[in-house]
Amino acid sequence: MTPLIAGIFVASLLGSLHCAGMCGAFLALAVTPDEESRVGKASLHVAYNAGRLCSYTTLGLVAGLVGRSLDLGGEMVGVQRAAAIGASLIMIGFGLIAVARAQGYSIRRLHPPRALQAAVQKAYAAAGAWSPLGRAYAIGLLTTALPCGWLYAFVLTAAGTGDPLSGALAMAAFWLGTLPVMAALGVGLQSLFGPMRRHLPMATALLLVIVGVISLAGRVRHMRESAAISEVFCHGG
Amino acid sequence: MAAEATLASPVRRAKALCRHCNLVVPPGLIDPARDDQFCCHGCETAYSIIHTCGLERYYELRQQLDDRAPAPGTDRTYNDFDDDTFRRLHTRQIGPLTRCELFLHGVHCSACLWLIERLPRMVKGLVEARLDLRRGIVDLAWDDRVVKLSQIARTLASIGYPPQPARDRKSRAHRVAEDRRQLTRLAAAGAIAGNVMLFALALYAGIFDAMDPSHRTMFRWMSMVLTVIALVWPGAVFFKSSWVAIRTRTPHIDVPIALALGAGGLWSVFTTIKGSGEIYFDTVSVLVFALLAGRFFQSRQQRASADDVELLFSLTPSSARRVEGDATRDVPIESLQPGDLVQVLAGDSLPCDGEVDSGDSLVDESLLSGESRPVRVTTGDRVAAGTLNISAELFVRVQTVGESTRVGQLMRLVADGTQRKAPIVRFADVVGAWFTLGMLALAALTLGLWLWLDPLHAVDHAVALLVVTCPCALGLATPIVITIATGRAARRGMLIKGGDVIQSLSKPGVMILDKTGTLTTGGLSLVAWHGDDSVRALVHAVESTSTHPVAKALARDLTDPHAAPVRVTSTNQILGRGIEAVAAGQRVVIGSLSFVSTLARVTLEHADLARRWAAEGITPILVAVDGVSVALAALGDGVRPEARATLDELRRRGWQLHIASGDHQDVVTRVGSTLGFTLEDCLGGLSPEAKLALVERSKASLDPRSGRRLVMVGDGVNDAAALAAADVGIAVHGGAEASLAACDVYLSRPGIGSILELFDGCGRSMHVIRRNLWVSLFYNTTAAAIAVAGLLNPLIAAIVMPISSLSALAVSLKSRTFADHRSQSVLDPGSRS
Repeated sequence: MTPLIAGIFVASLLGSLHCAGMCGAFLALAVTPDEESRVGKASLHVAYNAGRLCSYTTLGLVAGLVGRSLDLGGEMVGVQRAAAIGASLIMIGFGLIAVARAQGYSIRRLHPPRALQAAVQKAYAAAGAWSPLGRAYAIGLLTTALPCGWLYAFVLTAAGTGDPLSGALAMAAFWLGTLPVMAALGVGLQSLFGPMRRHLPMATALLLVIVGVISLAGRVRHMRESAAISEVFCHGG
Repeated sequence: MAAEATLASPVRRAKALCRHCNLVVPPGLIDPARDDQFCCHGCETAYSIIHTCGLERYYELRQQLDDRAPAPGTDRTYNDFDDDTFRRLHTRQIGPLTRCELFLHGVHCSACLWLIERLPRMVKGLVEARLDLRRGIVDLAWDDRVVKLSQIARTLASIGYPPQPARDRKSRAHRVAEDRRQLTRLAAAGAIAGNVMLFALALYAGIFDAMDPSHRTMFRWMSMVLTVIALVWPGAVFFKSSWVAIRTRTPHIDVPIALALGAGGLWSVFTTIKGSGEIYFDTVSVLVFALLAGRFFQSRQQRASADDVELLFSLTPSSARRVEGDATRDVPIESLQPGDLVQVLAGDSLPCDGEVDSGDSLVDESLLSGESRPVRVTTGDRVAAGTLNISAELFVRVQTVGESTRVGQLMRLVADGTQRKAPIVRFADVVGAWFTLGMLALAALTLGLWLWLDPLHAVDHAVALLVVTCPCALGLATPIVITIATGRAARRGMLIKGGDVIQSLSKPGVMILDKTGTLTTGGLSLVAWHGDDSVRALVHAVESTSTHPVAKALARDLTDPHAAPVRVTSTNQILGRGIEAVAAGQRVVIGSLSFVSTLARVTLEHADLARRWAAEGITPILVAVDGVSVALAALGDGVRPEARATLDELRRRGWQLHIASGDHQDVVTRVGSTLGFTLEDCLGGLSPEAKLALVERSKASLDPRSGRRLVMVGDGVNDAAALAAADVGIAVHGGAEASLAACDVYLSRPGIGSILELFDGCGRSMHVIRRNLWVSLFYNTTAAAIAVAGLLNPLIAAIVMPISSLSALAVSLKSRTFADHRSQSVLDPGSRS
């Protein structure tokens, strides 16, 4: 578990420039105080990031539950740890597709449903009318509603843990990794990262593969260990 | 979740950036059929959300951060930077590299920092560019064989930071060294305080769990050694300054501080050596650190304003075009010699005092004389350095350069004025004097009382009292209030150079205001119109064809967005007299009375009015259509819109106001009367020296004990000496940035509109300082009572002292002195970042 959490954190930290680019606008919207309100920028930052944390961990929890049910279903038909292996493989697949794209191979994207997009737009517009603190929190919550491949790759990993709590923990680690960049945003950070940006697509693609491999390796080792334990039990008994 | 993959061989496509996040789009995702490219669905969705929410301005803002829009480049060649004289004066050779410090205009944020420090990648041969953001000075290192400094300078100018040599390198090196010394002292005091606190914690804990006596002794000795170091090295500043204060008999807050530190330190050393009794090493070392920290921030703040003196050099150009044979060459002004011939283009400042050799132009001398109207110069006329050549090219024979020019002499007056300024006794210092006396009296009382009650602990209690009454809240919180107030004021566009200013401006006094550029706009504008309104559009059309300052002012002020465009077919301009044109089929003549009367019939009424206006100091311009004068326009120096309301409010608050101007008395009287001044309060025709004398006379007539101060408000170089001599000099934006050097407050917004805000902020800051005094007084009396009662031990001292400082600090931080600067809203399309 620990290597996976650490891996997620490091991957998220390194890839968080993507988050800065994508969510920068929403962050700016969230942390802009109203002219007459007395709420400070710092509290808005806290509210926004708290919103993100809640949203991420809830998603992780749900993903963990789904993974758990997959595992249970798999066990019934005799497949151990179906969720973990499936998730890891899909993750590696995602990563490889991204590597290919970064290399210039054309691979078409799946389009998210239009209805979802419209709903998200409405939700953002509604949040814009709230008080600054509520708005910041709501915009934070809504982050997960964006069809972000990077985020959902990690939700997949969370599902792979096959446990709601671990799933939530995995997403919390992801959140923690994005925190430095998101908190530092608004000071022209984009510019400061100038030279790094060119290699970002390749870097994030490789990170996905690495996290997938860590996750897979962890599961395989886990299976070996439980196999060894059951062996001991069988022979000992 | 398999994406439908069409694997083709990788195609090299043009690079694309994501429309939303500005990151590189993976080449495989570039859709050549679309205008906007996105790196992922998330970004595409985010982009559409941003648009539906009407927040497109976000991209605009980000763009500004990403690549600062290049400012209009100058056509200066900077060839003088390669001149030998320049190299000798400003550059130094270190190994294969040449180094130079340049002062950059327009540097203000971390984006500038990033851009400038990236410069070595843009200019081949430039090895290093380090920017000191606060001072706007860039330190360059380059290989002279690969690139010339002029080329680097041109690149800097082209990205919007025109450079000029940073001239007072020596004095700045000294200041940097002083800064470094202060920081080292602060760091040492901090490290010592931290360690002594650790020992103290162990000792306090030992009180409760019977500590091994040998350990206890060791900890006491170790804290003693460290605290003594803190007192003789970083803490020595307090003893030195209080020694000076005692010798010169000037009250100073450092005296009670040094007393507390000294008493606490010495007595603790004594008890440590003796092996029993209380020690105050923790309190003493923390006090040293906290006080030094407060002082460091304060001096940094003041330093920041002092550096603005650099702007003084923007007054005269750093280079000149010297005529050498048939060609001209850019040379630094240091290499100009009397007798040289220099070319001054329209729009340039004059580099030297001299005589016009050839050429015919208008020169704006308002910086030097306060005269609002440009002066016409021609062959044989004298011109002065620092004045602005407005309309045409001039060739000037150099007479004097540098310090001996008229502007140089004025600057010397400014420097003298700054030194002559009487030191204003600082508020905290006066209070500190009373503090010292009270403390000493109380300590004597405690000593006497306990000698009688319990002689063994008498000294202990007296020392405890001295330590606990250290006025650190005053010594710390007052500078912090001032630092925060000046910081906030600076963000509101008000640069305050010293804490004493805040005190001086918190009460009404006498104010002398300059006219040109301060109460008036300082340029030509339409102040009156008489006659047929229907010809306004005609005049606008005709004057729009000319670049003469009078024409420009008329064209600007007669603009009517609803008027139908008028076609101007032929124009004939006579420099300094007027213009003749055919517009909308009519013959139009616009110009001075003499010019128009030679070409058209001027009615008696118009001629009379023109003469009357001229006598009042405004310039009459006649308009004749088809041979008859039909209207009369008057150009003058227009009164600023906010001036009247501001002045009325100042009068209501009890300020005595006067106008002092270098302009003609009639003009001053006219402007004064529209602003509610009585005739005797309007003084015109004053030279810079006369203004200085006026300020000194008025200052002498004020009783220093009344708290009423003399405030001078001005903008030009002609005000600089008076600004420096006044109790408080306030320079307003718009005129010479050079007056910055002389003033105590610089208002970056044009006009006097922000003066009220400045005074309000100063009043509130003084209020906070007083409140701090009461807070610390409350703590100190409570603690003193405990000490007199003999109940104070080092633990209580260690708790009470920080609480007293921290609460005063918290009060200072939370209080509204100057309105806090709110970050600009992305949602507000009207605001510019």
